[in-house]
Amino acid sequence: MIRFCCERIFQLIVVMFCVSTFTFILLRLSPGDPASILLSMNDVPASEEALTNLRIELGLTESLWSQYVQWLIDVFTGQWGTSYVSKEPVIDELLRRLPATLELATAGLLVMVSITFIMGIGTAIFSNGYLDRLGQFMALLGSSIPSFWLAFILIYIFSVQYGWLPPMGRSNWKNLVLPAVTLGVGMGTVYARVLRANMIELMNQNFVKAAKARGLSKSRILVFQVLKHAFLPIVTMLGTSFAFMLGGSIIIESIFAWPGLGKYIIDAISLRDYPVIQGYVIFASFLFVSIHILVDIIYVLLDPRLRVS
Amino acid sequence: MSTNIKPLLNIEQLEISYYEATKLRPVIHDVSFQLYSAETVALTGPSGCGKSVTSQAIVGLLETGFEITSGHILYKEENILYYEDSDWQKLRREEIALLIQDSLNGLNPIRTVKKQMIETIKQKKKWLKKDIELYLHSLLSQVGFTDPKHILSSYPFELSGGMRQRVLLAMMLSLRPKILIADEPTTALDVINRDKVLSLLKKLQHDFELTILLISHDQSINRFADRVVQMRQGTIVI
Amino acid sequence: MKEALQTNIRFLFGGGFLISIILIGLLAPWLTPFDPLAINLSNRLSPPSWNYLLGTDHLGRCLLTRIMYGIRITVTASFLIMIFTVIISLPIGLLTGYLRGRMDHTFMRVIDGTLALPDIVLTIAIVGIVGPGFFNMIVAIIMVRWATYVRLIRSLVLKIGKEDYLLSARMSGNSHIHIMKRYILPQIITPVIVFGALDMGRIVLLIAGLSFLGLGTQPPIPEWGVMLHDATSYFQIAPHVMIFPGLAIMFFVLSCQLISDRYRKQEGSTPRGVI
Repeated sequence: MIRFCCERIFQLIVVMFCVSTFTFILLRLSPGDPASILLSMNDVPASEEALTNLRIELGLTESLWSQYVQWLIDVFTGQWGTSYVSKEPVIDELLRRLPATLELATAGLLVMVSITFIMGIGTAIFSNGYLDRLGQFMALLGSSIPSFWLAFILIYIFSVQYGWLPPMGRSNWKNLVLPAVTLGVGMGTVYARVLRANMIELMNQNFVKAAKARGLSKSRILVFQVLKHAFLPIVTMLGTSFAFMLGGSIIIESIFAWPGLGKYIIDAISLRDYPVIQGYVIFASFLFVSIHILVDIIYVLLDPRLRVS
Repeated sequence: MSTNIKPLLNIEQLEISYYEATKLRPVIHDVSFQLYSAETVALTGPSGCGKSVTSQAIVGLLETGFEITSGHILYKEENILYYEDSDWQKLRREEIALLIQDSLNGLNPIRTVKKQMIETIKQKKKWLKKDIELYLHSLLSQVGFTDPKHILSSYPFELSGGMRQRVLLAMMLSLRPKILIADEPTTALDVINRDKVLSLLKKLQHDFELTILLISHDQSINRFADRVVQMRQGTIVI
Repeated sequence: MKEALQTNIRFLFGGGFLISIILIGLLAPWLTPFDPLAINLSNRLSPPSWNYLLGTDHLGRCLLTRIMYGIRITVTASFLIMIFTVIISLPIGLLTGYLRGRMDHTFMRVIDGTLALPDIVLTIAIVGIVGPGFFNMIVAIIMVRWATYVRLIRSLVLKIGKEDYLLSARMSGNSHIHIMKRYILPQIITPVIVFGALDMGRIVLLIAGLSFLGLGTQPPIPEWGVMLHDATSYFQIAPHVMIFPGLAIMFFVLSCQLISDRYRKQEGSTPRGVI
């Protein structure tokens, strides 16, 4: 178990290293000189002298190699620079917006899980009936609908037509409903199919047959023998989908003006606030890989077969 | 067998069919045999002759697509074909235990033996915690385990196939059934373990006052049986 | 049996949809009398009518025409992405899967890590740094998608690599290159294409999403994501400008899904990542 954790932490470091290198290369390749962008943002006329001074200040005159080493050191010590726009440290800006995004992702996950469970178990029990057909159809739709389009449809129905729910902002729980549903519906219907398939496969397993032969009741078998088993792959999926919720929230946050990380990065891109963009990449990869590792560990804890080996 | 003793289980003219493209096709027909109290009967025949289907029909666990189309199954002179789901569950719980064909994989691999055994015995009555321990220990030692405590705390995937089979056997016996149907108990085992299991069944029959129906394609089990019923191509030949 | 028939019907439907969508895109100039870029301000935001079947947008351009021309952009972009991704990942996947060893192990760990990042996050980051635009978007998507393909190809090669006939082929003196070309490549090409069909849908969603955010295709090019982007300010008064481009995206993705449905059951892969 300790070895397993160490291996995972090593993986995290390697990925962080790769991502940092990658962003460094991209930034050097990108058109536009940081110094002139910074100057024009501060409305300072880009005189040759000012440019040179700023280049020296930003360390742009040093060799590419030493810039790279400095960049790596900065990344791993959490010094991700200051935002061109707000002049505040990037890491503070990111951390300030994290709770809103986590809130949205959790709500989306909640919607997803409820849909997965209700539809998955329902269609597994009444497989090949009308409910099953409906589930199949919904999953097909759920994986084809662009989330940003669904967001508009929901806004149009619930905010514009009936005025039940606010279309944007983050003041109370009502604001959360539409973005969370948008995030959760698509994946929920798809995972419901996965849960259904898992459960049906398990119901034909020998240990279920043997449990029936011992006279265990149907509901007991369903809950203790089948669901617990079917849940294992779902746990991994929950983890990955939480990560995808965070990712998907970029678009959703921009539509619903939700003041989280996603909206922030889109705003930063349009303002060409480079420190924020690269800070976001580092931050996001740290977040996602950590979740990935956490899921792996939970999976091992849940499945005793893996715990031993 | 004298005719005035009533059989414990009486199967008469059983016919089971399989749904094939909206048509019912009989897979076994005219199967009749009796089980009398405390005897061991071997039901043998080549693979695919309908032995397993017959055994599944007796405990009401036919797979989807199969259906009993005529005949009777009388247990203690009661026709069990008209049972509801809850009656079937009661029958399996208290009267007839079926050791399923692939009994080596008959345990949920990710729950401890103890949890699954307790779950099984709790259906019948409430137990005190310390009684449970004692009962489970005695059961496991009766099926030949020397270290029941270790077995109880294990996960099935940590045990060998033969061990899992015996655990399942102990689990079935924990319900104190009258009849034990063992479907191919020896097939997946090696030669040495085969005889061991059969001798164990013989011993258990004595300890638990069981009536045993042994199902196998292997004629060599006949010597453990009091009586042999032979099936071929979906019907009884002897 | 019945199930197989159903999946076949679905496959035919999906294929039929996809072919007709592509045909409509190709024949767009003959199918519609309008110019997708011609601005007609006197006719802006008019609802669907006989003249404009799906209405007009905020600059008075025919929506149906723009959606039809949008097919060209979407299909071209996704095919380009697909081809380049396969070209990049095929040799890498083949080599890592065939040679294995320590290098392969480290490499896979890195790929696993990258796959933990959702596509959309990485593409947005790349486009954000390099700057928005159609070409940059395509490059960004290729950079993000190739890892998935390497994974797939590698696992396929590993599966085949276990077969005995490969060993006997090696024994009889074939070179590694020859074995890869003659024995392994023909076997993995079909599953890769099938996976590609399923992936098409995902890529189309990604393209539309990026363009919607203003990071991909730029206005006035008639692309579905761009049209939705344009619709954001007007959909409250004229919902048709939002509904129809979205339906177009959905239909396209749906057809890809229907096609790959037939194979997904055999592959047993779980869908991951819906934007």
